[in-house]
Amino acid sequence: MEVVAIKCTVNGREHRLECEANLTLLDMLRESLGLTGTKSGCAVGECGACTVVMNGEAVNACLVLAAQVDGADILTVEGLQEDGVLDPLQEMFIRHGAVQCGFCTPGMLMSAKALLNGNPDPTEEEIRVAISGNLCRCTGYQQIVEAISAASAKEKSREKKEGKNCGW
Amino acid sequence: MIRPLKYRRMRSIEETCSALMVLGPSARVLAGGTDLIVSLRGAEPKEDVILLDIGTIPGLGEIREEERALVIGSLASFAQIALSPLVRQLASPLAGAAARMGNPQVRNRATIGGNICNASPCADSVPALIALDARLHFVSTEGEHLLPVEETIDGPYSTTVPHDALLTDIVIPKLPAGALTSYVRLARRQAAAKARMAVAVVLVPDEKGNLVDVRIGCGSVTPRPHRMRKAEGRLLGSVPTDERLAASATDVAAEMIQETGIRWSTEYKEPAVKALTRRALREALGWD
Amino acid sequence: MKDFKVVGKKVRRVDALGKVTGQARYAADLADPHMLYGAVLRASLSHARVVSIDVSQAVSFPGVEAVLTAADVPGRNRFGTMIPNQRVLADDKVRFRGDGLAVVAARSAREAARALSGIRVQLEPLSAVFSPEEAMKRGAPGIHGKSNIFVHHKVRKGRIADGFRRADVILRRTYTTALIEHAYLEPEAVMARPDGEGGVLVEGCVQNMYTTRRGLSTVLRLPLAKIRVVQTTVGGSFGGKDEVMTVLAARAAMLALRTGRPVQMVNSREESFHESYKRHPYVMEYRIGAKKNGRLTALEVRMVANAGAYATTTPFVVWRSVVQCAGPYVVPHVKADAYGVYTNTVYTGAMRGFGSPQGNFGIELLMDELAGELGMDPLDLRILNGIRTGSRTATGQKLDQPVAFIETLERSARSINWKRRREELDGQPRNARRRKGIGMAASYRGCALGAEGTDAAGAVVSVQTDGSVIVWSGIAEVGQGYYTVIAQITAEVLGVNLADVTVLPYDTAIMSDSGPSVASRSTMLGGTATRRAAGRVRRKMLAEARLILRTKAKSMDLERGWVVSSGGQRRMRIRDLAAACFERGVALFEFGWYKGPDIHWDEQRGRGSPYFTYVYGTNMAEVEVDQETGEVRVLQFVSAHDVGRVVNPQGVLGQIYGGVAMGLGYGLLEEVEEREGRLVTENFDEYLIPTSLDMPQMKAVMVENPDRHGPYGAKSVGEPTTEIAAPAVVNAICHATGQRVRDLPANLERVLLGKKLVRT
Repeated sequence: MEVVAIKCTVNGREHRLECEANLTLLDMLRESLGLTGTKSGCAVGECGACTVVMNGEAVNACLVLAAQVDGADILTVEGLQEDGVLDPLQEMFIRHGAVQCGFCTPGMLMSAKALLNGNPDPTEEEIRVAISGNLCRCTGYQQIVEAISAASAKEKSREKKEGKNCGW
Repeated sequence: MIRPLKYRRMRSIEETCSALMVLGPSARVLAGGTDLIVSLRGAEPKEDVILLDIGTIPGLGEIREEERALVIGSLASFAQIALSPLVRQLASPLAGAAARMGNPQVRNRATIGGNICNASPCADSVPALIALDARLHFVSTEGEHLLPVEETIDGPYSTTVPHDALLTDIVIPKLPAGALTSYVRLARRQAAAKARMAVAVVLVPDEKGNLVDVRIGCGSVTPRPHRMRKAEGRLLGSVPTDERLAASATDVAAEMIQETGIRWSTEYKEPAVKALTRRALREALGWD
Repeated sequence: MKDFKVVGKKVRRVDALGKVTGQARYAADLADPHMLYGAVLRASLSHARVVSIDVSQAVSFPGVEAVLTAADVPGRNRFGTMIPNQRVLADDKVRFRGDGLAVVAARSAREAARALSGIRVQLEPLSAVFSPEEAMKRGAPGIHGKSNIFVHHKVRKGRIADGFRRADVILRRTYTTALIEHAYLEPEAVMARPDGEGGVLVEGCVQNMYTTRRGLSTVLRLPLAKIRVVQTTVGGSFGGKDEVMTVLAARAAMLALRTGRPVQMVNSREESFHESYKRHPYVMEYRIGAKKNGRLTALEVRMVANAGAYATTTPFVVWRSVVQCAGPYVVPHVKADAYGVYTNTVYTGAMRGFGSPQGNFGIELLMDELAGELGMDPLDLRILNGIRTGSRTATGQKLDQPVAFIETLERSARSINWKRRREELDGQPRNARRRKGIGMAASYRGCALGAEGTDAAGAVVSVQTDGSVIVWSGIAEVGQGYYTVIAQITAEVLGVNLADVTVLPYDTAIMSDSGPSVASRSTMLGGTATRRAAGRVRRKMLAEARLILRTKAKSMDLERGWVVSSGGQRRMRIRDLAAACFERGVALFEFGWYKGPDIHWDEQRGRGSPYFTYVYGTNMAEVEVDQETGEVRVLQFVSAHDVGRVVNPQGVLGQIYGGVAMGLGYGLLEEVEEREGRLVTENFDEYLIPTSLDMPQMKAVMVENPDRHGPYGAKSVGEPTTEIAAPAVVNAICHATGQRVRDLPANLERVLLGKKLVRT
């Protein structure tokens, strides 16, 4: 099996890897880098459990080949915390009861993260659209939507207090 | 598990065309990958596959306005297309289709070129491109050519395009002033569902309200996507009325049945496509 | 009523942090440097005799360490709760297409999958049956024994002929439901490893650890004590990770014991669709009689459940369906029969609701049709006939605990403004392109297992020397929030902060068999066991405190980290008390056990008291139907449930919202399509569950009707919350269109045409 050399940044750290040509980004994260937070739910890009943020956009890692991420900047759920401080999204998911079995949670967080990075003050409709590719079988989405909304408001008030941009 | 394959990163259109010609049918163009990668799942290879990744070829993903046309690079993603002010202004049905295709993650990766060349019967860009009279710009080692969409897709998952030609641009002629457009889509749920049926419409009225151009493109209706000319003819040259719209919608349904025969789904699709067509026409006219 | 400090309060889930940081470990996240990967070869026919399986080539494929078939099963290749006819790998016959024939362990997942093609299988096709109707005919091929009808339960009350004689109106209707997939986001996965002493450790998303362990014991021929099942974080179960996990665990364990190495097996989503059990499709025939004024006089029901290839929990599912078949209404004469039938299709078993979503669909649509026939408001018909405290159910049981059913009807009606809204909507033009409708459904549900089996559970509470607390429970956390509930109960009883309580993973090595995490029993059974264990610890602690503080005061308490006297005076810190107890040789480690109250069921006569208590619920929905395309949008939804007592408000809300989502999927979208035993639907592109954009704004109404059997009065919430959303929304569709849909799901075709179109 051919290998492809790639260089990419994952959660702020640079990696140089030699990946088999048929390795997906999902398997690269989980197996090559040991980042098992990103989940495999369907392997066909329908459930969103494998969502990561790549070059600022939410993508299904099961539909990207590792070979395609050369030069890319990738954020996974493991990269949301900063110095042990939870991202407002993570905090709000806990606070608003948005987590049950947790399997959809990493993907949900990443779709939400990509949303808030581009649109810091989304409407409820915009939130629902942003997570419409993330299936959840447990929560009925209502508390998830509330959590994402709360995270956006929180970001705003924190920004006000600290006067800085809290982007990733 | 993706089957074993080979991978090559392409740096230019020329390199890609060369490789396609030299490597033959085992070479497959990889753009967004959202269809291709799913199709490559499985443990046992039947034949070699060499992926030619065109994703980083510069300039292939641009959306630009030319004097008489909107030109969309084949690598433009559905997300880009949905959000593009140019597309919304000059090819609104395509922007509408792009916004509802797949799901947000897929829209960020899936390209219009891949969507067209995959030629799924429910390909989301196709009805709009047909109604917009889009032409596809192909490049191969033998030169370039421009093909109307209608002449490109000849059946489910089948195109007339030679294997070694690369789709580089989608050229959408600008609509005349006063043109009215719409796009309606029917799916089984509110998001992340393939189009059960879709209708895109372009109407051009003259100063008196007579329709001098009528274009209707449908998705998941006929095996080969094409303009519904009989239905269009029904409305051409006159001021649209409720009855004419209904008759035109009936024509679409009849054309569908003529081409597909009576299938298991016809009992549903016939009334539904009639309703969708009428709705698309009314929406374009601003009647609802 | 005492003011609770932790119970009933908004708290942080005890297991949420790991889930939001990606640290929580699910079964597919496990890894071991020495591990092997397992793969399964499955049948290509629905019903066939296994002539031979030749693995001789496959064993020499690259990377392969073992290839096993049924011949390699060390013990007895049979398991199953009531009727042990399920196999780990097919031996005599293949009974459905998902049946496993052989398993491979190899150094990589790819090599394991590749080796499957080296296995040569000879099958002799047998004639197959795919519907219960066919399977019930005389001369139909017997899938297990001669007859494919293997379950029959009944209910008899009064004299049915009298009941119908008294009726002014009699309706006959038939309703059907579809084959449904649990669709938990986490596909089944397990890691088995030999323990070096002849035993085996199994880690995985196992819902019923003790059942799985029993199955493993039989199959591996190992004593229970030599099999340890530890639950990883479970990515959803909904009843679905029982037998399928026993099969997966047994296969992995066989491979692990044979190779001496850890073996991981992870199902792809397609494998999960093809092999994991589903919710039973039902065909339900009803005959209902009522007086002109709406009083029900008689109900006759016949239900047939498609059990697929194996029995699993079908006897219990069918039993619950028949016991609750009359809905939350007083019906003086009832004759009900329910059957479970084998077919050569994917087997069916437990799924959230457990026979109630099907039965509730039937009776609730029927009540609406009856209301229509009588010209009555469906709400009024239900209030008129609704059960109240002291009513007798269809099985003759007197409901002597307070019955909150009418309250759920009235509160949801107020919330959605039922009467006014119905009137307004009745005024819409009949042929409007889009027309709105409002509908309702109601239910009562027996809590916990009832007569299905021994309903008992245990828990251990152990206060550490620094005052932090460990809890072990014998019931699983499957995402529903159970661990948080028992942590809250423990914190409440011991007067400590929730943050000081740690619930450790479910492990058969530690706890006595506490039954499965099913039947919405975890809070009632496990919560009570926990409360007992914590109560024992508390009594011990207070007894020591009195000695230490040299006081005879009776009313000492543990509150907010302190031992307090009756005046509220803080006397010593709990953590200091804990340390002191240790020094004084007093162990703060207690076991609590709770066995549910006795119930009585007379199988012969079809009557009795099948459950010790009940919950009640009403759902109301407003929809908008596109009358030209059959599209349905749910605009608003009210879900009112008697939960006894709310222990974790966010948790209850989560169960309500999630339950509605699952119920809406059941009502509008979901169906596993099967053609001649082959599943056509095998991933989420075709199997549609609601997305965030399919969900309406939901209003939850929590009715607290404390029950003496539950901890702090808490009852069940997991299943009641999903079992009536579908009939509510289908009744709403009918109100909008004036047309009846009697078959699930009410998808585009059924709403537009009133029938299903069969794909050819």
